[in-house]
Amino acid sequence: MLPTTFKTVDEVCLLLPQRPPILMLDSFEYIDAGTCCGTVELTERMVFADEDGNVAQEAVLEHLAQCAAAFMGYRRKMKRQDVVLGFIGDIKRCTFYDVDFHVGDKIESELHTVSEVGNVLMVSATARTDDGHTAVACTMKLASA
Amino acid sequence: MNCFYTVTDVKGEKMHLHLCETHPVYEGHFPGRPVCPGVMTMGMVRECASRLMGKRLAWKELKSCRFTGMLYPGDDVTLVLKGIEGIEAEISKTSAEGETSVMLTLKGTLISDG
Repeated sequence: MLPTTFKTVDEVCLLLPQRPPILMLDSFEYIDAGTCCGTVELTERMVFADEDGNVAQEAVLEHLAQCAAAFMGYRRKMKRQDVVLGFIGDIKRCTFYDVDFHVGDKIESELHTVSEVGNVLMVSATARTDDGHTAVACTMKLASA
Repeated sequence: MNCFYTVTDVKGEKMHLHLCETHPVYEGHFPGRPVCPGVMTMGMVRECASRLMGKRLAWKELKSCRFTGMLYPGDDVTLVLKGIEGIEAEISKTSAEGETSVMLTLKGTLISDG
């Protein structure tokens, strides 16, 4: 039976196929049919981190993509379908308000469905740091395999 | 992104890259079905632009980044970079049969980082 909350990594892993060292989603604060809010703490074990504790900007985009992939997974599960691989089709209108990310940073992201046509989901996505300011915003299309 | 790729040749705005088969990312993307993560190819573009400019660059804006094909560990690809801070990039792959396909097209803005 599908959990009603996704507060642990084990629960999140029911919704998407990515695994460490590129698993970039720790939990969902909430998830429903049209929106979701995912969180991740950047760690030194992630592939985007270097030995000095810097984390590449692309880590935040991967986090947003995995929120979207898990969101797709949730929607499939609600229809009693299996979770499948999802791939980014495109990223548009993406602004990086922050350029530096570090191990220990906590990112919280909100996604809204823009459209869903066949196996392609388009979302608007905003990532915020734990002090509440916007770090990255974009629209993203994901396709399931 | 240590050892994710190696630069095998540079000719002007064209760089030839090899995607390393043994990078740990493939343990998780995806278990038993290794596929190159799209955002890591974006990171490759940023790092290669940094290398050409001789300074560390960061994304300020991505007008568009379109992924049009799959890349796999072991692939050899060609990256063409036009402009640096207002950047246009294209990654293509040539099959064993000699057919070249575009895998990524990107337009964005890079700024100095630090």
